[in-house]
Order: sequence, then C-alpha cells, then structure tokens
Amino acid sequence: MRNLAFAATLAALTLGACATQTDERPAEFDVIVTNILAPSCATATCHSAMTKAEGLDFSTVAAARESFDARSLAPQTSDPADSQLLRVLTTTGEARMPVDGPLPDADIELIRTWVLNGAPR
Amino acid sequence: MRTFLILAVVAATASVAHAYPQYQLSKEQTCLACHLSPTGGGLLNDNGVLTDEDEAKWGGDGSFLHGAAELPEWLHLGGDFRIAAGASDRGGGLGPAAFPMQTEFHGVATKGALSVVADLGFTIPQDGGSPLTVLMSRQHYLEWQQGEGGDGWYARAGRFMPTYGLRLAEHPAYTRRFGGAPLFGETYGASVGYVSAGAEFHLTGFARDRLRPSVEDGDGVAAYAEKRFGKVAVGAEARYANGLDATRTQGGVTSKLWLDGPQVLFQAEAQVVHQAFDAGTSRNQVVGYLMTSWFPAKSWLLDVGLGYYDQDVKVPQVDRDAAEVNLHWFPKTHIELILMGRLQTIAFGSGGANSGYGLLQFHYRM
Repeated sequence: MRNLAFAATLAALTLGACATQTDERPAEFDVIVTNILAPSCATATCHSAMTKAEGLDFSTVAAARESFDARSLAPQTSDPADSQLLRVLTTTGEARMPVDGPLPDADIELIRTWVLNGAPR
Repeated sequence: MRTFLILAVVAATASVAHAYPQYQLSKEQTCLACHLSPTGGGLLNDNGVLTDEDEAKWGGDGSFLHGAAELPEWLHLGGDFRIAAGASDRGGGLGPAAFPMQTEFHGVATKGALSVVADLGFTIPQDGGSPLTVLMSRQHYLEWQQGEGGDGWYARAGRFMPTYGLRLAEHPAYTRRFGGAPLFGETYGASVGYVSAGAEFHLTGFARDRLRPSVEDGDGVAAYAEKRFGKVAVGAEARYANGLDATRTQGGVTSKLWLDGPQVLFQAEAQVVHQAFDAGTSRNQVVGYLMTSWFPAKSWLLDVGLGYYDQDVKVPQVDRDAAEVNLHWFPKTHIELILMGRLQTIAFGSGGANSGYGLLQFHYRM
C-alpha cells in the first residue's frame, strides 16, 4: 500500500512537472547561438568554422556575431518579416533550413521573440 | 546556391569510413579481427579481406585493387568512394537529392610494432577560404601496437577521432551527432588502450585542431570501456570537453547482444550530457540509440535503428525521434549497395514537424 502511494505521488509529481513545464530560456543572442544555431546549423558541411557555407559561421558566439553583422540575417528592426534567418527556418521547399530537418517550434519561437526584441547582440 | 545546397545535403547525410560494428560478436569479439586499427574502421587486415570475400554474393579478390598491385608487406593502401541519390524532405516537401559522399584514400606503413596511419580525402571547400580547403586529412597519427595486430596494448598520437561509444558508421545517429562523435569531429590527441577478446579500454586526451577549424572545438578527455561475456557486451563511456563557448560533461552506457538463432545483433547506447555555457546558463540532454541488425542471408544485412535526442530536458517539446532503415547488399568484393531511409520527427506524437530521406548509396572500397 505504501509502495502504491509512493508510486502515485511520483506519477502526480511527474505529470505535474510536465504540465507546468515552460520554455524559460532567455531570448538572448548567446543563448540562441549556443543552444540552437551551433548544434543544429554548425555541422561539418554547413555553417561550421570548417566550411562556413554561404560565408556563415555559427559555431561560436563570436563567429555568429560576425556573420550576423555582415549579413542581414536579423536586422534590428523588430520586424520578423525582415529576418532572413526566420524566413529560412520557416519556409517550405528546398530553401528550408536546417537541411537535415526543421527546428523544434520552441526554438523558432525563441528566435522570433529575440527578433521582436530588436535582435540585440 | 542550389548546387551548394545539394552538396550540403549530400555531405550531411553521408557515411564515412568507419567500421561496421554490426559484425562484432557475430563472428569475432574485437575490431582487430578485421581491421588494422585496434579501434576499428579504416583499412582491413587479411582476415577482414577474407570476410569481405566470404560475404560477397559473387566473391572476387578482396585485396588492394583486386590483387592487380602487389604491395610490400609493410605497406597497406586503400580507399573509399561513395555516392548517393534519392529524395529528401527537410520539412517542407520532398525533393531530389544526389551527391558524392566520400572520396578518401588510406595508407598505413608498418615497421615492427610501429605504424604511421594517414588518410587523405576531399570535402566541401571552405566558403571564402583557400581552394586547398577542399583537401582534408581526417586522420594522421603514429601508433604503437603490442603483439603486431594481436590482443594487447596500443598507444597513438596525432589526429584522429577519440574512441567513444558504439562507433557506428551512420553519423546522423543522434548518439554520434549530438553524443560526442560528430562527422569531422577528429582532434589532435594522444590515446592509450587495451584490446582483448574479453574486454577493451580506451583513454584519449584531445585538443581541438588549431591549424584548421574542426567540428569539435573543445580540449578534453574521452574514455570508453567494454566488457564482453560471450555473446553479450556491456560498456561505459565518459567524456569532458572545454570548448570555446561551453564545457561539456557527459557519460553513458552501451550494450550489445548477439543471438545465434535468428542471426540478430542488438546494440544500444544511452547518454546524459551536461553543458555549462560561458554566458552563465546550462542545460542537460539525453541521447539514445537502439539498433537491431539482422543477417538474413549471405551478402545481406538489414539495420533498423531508433534514435532519441532531448536537447534540453527542461524545455518542453524540443526532443527529436528518428527511425532508420539501412539495407546493405554486398554483390562483389569491394562493392556495397545500401538502401537508406530515415524519418525524424520533433516531439513524437505532438504534431511536430517531420523530415527524412530515402537514398541509394553506392560504396566502392579500393
């Protein structure tokens, strides 16, 4: 009986934790690069320091900052429509990025929030 | 632009010259049974060549250049060439995909217990970099092996992939890509290990390539140990890397089980990863892979894999799930055809975006 109560409590806590789980990552450039762009886009043959596909290097925060400064990936207009980065992450067809599968919606939303905040870096 | 993207897709889905750990436990216990390297992959030894000849439906001479060139005993040469074609869907619709996957030459020169090992191949040139960036030597190292290829100790120093985890050939597997052994993740380092039929152990200290940017940007240490009990193996792994923006600490377990009756090998790997970013944040990740390999008949091998990767356990619905099927056929020595399929979804069951590919790969081993 005690085991059953323990299991029920554990299940309730687990379900409760899942139900209340939210994305608490700050919409900041460092977080977006290290948590999203580096692992998903800086792969060997794409936007890594090794290949710099399209001249873009997302492997580190410093390299990504240079890439963003050099290109209009996310102009600081607070308008998602101006962001080439958001366009390639959400478009359909061959232009969609990353090439090996879309990002989770939560990652795209974090980037959108950062863009809406003026894309500070 | 389009040409480049096709190349990128190509390479992003490519395999490299790793071993097929699917053969472990079914016939022999260690990588040394078929490879010159105690950690597997690369050039085959005499037994590996014989295995290739045995596996091929229509046989042939499995030695270098089909036996057309006689090499001195101290020199081993070879190469791997792969192309693939099919279709891929990156989440926005199905499109054609065709690309070269691998053009790479291998050489090993041996004198007594010492060997010099080097690979030279081609990759996508760095955008804006020297045309020479199309050339790539993923591995070049000096190695000492006790017992000239038999069981025992080894040590190596140079550029190579630290030995870690299952060492699958399929680099899109999450346990490779996000688990510490990504494509082109070779580093400079020194390694020591012991390999025998009953167990193996590998310890590597590594430093990122300061000469040419690599996918691995950390300095650190990696360890892998495996104990075998007949047709069962269990392993443990640990890795630490201090990178340019973060430190990464991870550990995991592996297991393998070979069943003689149905001719099936199960391989599993589970990892936990802690990343602490220089900006002050951190996250924990879970990575897993289960592969079932079936040898239904001579010259055929079927792999079915299931992968799981949660990029941040505290963030809902950012986990990825993948199912893979690889059907290998070995019609002649040196030749392999692989029908590859992979489906990936975000947060399985939640309506997350899907992607995948279906490709036919041609592989020629020189």
